Amino acid sequence: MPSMLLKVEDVSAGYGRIPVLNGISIEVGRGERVGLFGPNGHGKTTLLRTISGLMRPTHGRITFDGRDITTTAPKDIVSLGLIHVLQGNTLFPRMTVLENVLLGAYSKRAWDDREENLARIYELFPILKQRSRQLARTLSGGQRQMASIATGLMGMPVLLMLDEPTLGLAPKVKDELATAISEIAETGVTMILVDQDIELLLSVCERLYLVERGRVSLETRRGEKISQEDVLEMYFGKAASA
Amino acid sequence: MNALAPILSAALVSGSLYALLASGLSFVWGTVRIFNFAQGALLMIGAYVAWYVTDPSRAGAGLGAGFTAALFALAFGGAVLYLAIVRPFIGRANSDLMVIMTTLAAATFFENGADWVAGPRYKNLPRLATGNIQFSNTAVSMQELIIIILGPSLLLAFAVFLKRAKLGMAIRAVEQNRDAAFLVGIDIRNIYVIVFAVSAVLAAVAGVLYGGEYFITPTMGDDPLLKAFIVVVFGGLGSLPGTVVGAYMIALIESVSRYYIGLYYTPPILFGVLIAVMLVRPTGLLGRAYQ
Repeated sequence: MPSMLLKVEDVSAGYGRIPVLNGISIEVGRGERVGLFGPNGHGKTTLLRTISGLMRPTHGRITFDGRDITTTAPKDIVSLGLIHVLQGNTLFPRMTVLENVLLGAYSKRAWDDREENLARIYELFPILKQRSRQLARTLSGGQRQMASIATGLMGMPVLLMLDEPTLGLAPKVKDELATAISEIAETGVTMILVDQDIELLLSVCERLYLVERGRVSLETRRGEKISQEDVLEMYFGKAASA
Repeated sequence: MNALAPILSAALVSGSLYALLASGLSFVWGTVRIFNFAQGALLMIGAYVAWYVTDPSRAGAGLGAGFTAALFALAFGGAVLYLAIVRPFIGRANSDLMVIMTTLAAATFFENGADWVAGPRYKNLPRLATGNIQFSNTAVSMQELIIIILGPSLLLAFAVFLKRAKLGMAIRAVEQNRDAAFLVGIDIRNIYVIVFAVSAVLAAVAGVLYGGEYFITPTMGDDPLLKAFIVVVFGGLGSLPGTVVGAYMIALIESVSRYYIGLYYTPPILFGVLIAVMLVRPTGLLGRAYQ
């Protein structure tokens, strides 16, 4: 069993008085790629926002690399190498692609290596090099998503969390992005991937969690082979696949 | 009689001063999303600090020292103002309304404080340079020429800093997407402190320039604040280019109106123009919609 990089223990969180997470627990081992799926509005995004420090848990504990980060400020979490790429390709719209990507390396840890990482990112997403002088808001949906992921990679992630990177993209663009995500996964970075595209999750991840009503309702075991049928079974219960 | 030269020179002088003060307001609005009603009082404090350090009856250290002292004092003062009366409300419900109250209260407090400390007698800073130069049929004083040049140069330098420097990029990032700024590791709370300090420094520069051109009184910041308010709404809240363009346009309209129509009817005309612009472009000339 690999040593645990991220541990979320019994975490609850919500917006105002509306609870979204109800005692959720997940674990991610070093070098592991873990997928989260489940219906919309059941807490996947909120879980990521709580891990990255954008939201504070009302209960529970989060540890990263042996350190308690439950109440740590987002900038300090980033500087530990825990990088969260937001859902809906949110960039800095009135900045160029290059400025966006460079801001990804804002933390002290990543700033000095920015030129080197930039070259690697242009290799992964050549289109971003072509578009580097263009304002981010003028990019297509797929390009914006690539720029978002590139911004995340510039932070030199130890753990990279991608929130629905293929949301709303055309099938062809989706495939392109899936290939890029697989390539990123092959570099050995630990990854949490949230997506509705089960095929993508299965091709990238070793383990899956089904998140429902703010907690993990099912998970696959380590080392277990997972197929599309297993996932359908997780989603709809035994009867559906029988 | 050719009226163009006097109208234009007056417009350029007040346009530069409005641009300095209004940029601070607009900058704070763009990043922190609050409106700082104490900005005019900061201008006034800048002028007084400069006067106390400069005037032979007080420290007598000369205008250079006075100017420098005003800049440092206001950088510090702006940061303290933010920490004391703005930060406690950030992120709470109705924080924008709360901060209108606290900054208005601070403005009143500062004005009465200045009256109490310095007394009601009008004060005046020495001019940055003496002499006049002839410009068509109008004599422009060196002081006015310095205002005309210094205002836009400073704002240009500021724009270059925002565009090129790492810190400048971080400030723009916070303005454009707060969550994403958090997630690349920007310390937003520090950025807010810096934004307040910078906008207070811009007010201090305007204060020292005003203090050499007009009189220093506890309420000297009220009229410039009102004009700056018109300027930022006219030019587009949060947009630095819009604010600068707005400042010179408002100054020009004001200057023309004062020359041909008179001092008395100029404020209603300015507001009339503002309302007309709002009807056509509710976000101002170069502004964007904020939710």
